[in-house]
Amino acid sequence: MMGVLDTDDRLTAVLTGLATLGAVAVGFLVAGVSGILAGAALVVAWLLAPPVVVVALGQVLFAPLLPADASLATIALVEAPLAAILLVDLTDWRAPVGTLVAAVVALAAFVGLAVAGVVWLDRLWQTAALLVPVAAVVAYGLHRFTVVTVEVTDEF
Amino acid sequence: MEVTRRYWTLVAVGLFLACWGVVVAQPLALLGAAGVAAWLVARQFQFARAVGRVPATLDVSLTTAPRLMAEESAQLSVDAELARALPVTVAVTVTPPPGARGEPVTVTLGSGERAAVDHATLTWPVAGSFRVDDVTATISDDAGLFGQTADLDVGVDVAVDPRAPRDVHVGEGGDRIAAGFGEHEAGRPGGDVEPAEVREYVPGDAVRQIDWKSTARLDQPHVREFEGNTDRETLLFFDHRATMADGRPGTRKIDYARQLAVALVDQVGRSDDKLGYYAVGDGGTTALIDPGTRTETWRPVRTHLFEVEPTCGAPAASDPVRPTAARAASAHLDSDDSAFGRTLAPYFADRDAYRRRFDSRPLYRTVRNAEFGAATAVWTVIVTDDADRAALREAVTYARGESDQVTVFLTPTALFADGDVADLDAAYDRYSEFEAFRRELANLERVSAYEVGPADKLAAVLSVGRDRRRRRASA
Repeated sequence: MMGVLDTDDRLTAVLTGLATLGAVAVGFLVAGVSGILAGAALVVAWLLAPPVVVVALGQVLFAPLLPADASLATIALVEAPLAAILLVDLTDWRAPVGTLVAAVVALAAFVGLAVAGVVWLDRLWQTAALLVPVAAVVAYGLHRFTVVTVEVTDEF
Repeated sequence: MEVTRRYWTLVAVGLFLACWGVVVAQPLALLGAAGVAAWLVARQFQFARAVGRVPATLDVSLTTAPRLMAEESAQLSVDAELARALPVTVAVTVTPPPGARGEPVTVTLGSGERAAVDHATLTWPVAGSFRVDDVTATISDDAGLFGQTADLDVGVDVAVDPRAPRDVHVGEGGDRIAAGFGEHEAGRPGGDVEPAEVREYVPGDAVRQIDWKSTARLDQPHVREFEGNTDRETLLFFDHRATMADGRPGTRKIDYARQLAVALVDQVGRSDDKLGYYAVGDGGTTALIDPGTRTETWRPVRTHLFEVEPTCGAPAASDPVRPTAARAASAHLDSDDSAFGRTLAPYFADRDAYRRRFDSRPLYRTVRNAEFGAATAVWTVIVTDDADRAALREAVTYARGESDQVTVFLTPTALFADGDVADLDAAYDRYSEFEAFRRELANLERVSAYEVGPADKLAAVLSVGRDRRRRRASA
């Protein structure tokens, strides 16, 4: 899991590159020149860092550029190319349907949880406090599933 | 499931986004944190699903030589095959068992690959039964976030035999002996324990011999006869002096002698004869097992034979003059008044010197001091080489006087000298001398003498003799 300069998976590199360029275009639409500069930083990150870091960096760079009263459509427009980067990276092209479904379900579940928290809870820290334990429990459950599957008794 | 530093780094990125979003009151950052969490969970799910498929789809087979000799090496092939391609890297590692020397071999099936094979050379220094079954599969994902190690239930058995010669020749003058040595008839039917036959009663048979069941069945009085057990005792003298170390590792004189002696002991055990055992080293008797029945002596004798190694002793002294030659020389010197005769006369005058000198020879001393017992038949077996012929000759002569039958198994020194084909001529000459000595022993009354050695080397040496005869015939 590295930047495209180090990966052998050309298809994923091209598709994440297109999604990154999409983020540059969205940045220009939303914030003009500042958006392009933010997009350029994402391109550099795409070359050198794993896609998930590109997404995280995109959140950090685009958040201050959005107007305070940005509409839901604007936020969705900004998030779309970043979500695309994650989805493309998570898809195994030898079995695209299964992995794409899993990625979409995971993204929908966690983003939905975050959105629900933002909408219904009073404070953002409460949403963060909800998100982190849920992710931890799911990760631990998958760990236990793996251990039982391969009967690694010393890890029980 | 193990997670890597890279995983924790990305977890930290997600936590940073969540914290940053809270601090700057930016919900978009929380969405980013949710995205990172979703990405990590999706990756973990993909890995867990692939790992779950590995046990059912991975087929690992190990191939190596099932049977070999100690210190031999054999190639271990590890063949790993997946029934379907998986989005993970599977590395199958086979670690040699403690009884083997060699590096672990790892076969790696990259993401999407279905078959791979690799080889390693293992050396087996110790005899025994082993199983190569320390096989683990290490599964890792392409993103370098997760890993999982699992033991696989596969293995291959390897039997390692102790180093022993495989081409043992036992014979006379290059001809193999056809019959098994040590076999003998139990004797005439008598009144002992093993049932032999049922025959019709004749006047004179004891009433207690009547077999009533047969009599009732056949309507005529019948008696049952039993095979008589012999009261035979076998004394085995096994030579493991330094000269028995001649030859290359695994095919030394003692290795051939050991093979023969073990076979002999097994034969004696099957015959239920009593067996006594003397091991002879350079310092004299090194092991003594008094004659006993199969249950008493068979196992300890066998165990000692497998364990015994040549001792490190001084080479044998030069051959003393034989008594007949000494007497002739003494008589000749008695009539010799020259300075030469007067000087040598005292050396031949002492008739006991001959025996005293042999008493220092370990094999002779051991045979002379052995207790030959009071069995009805004593069979003496001497397994040795021809390095100290004079002492052996005297030992055989002495044993002949104490036992009913003496059998000598000799490992010819000529067949164990290192050298190439160019040395075969010299080896043939030495073998001819050995053969003359063996015949000399075999011509003694109640003495049999056989050669024991490598069949291929003997055949090569004998071929030199045939060539010589052919050349002489054509000349």
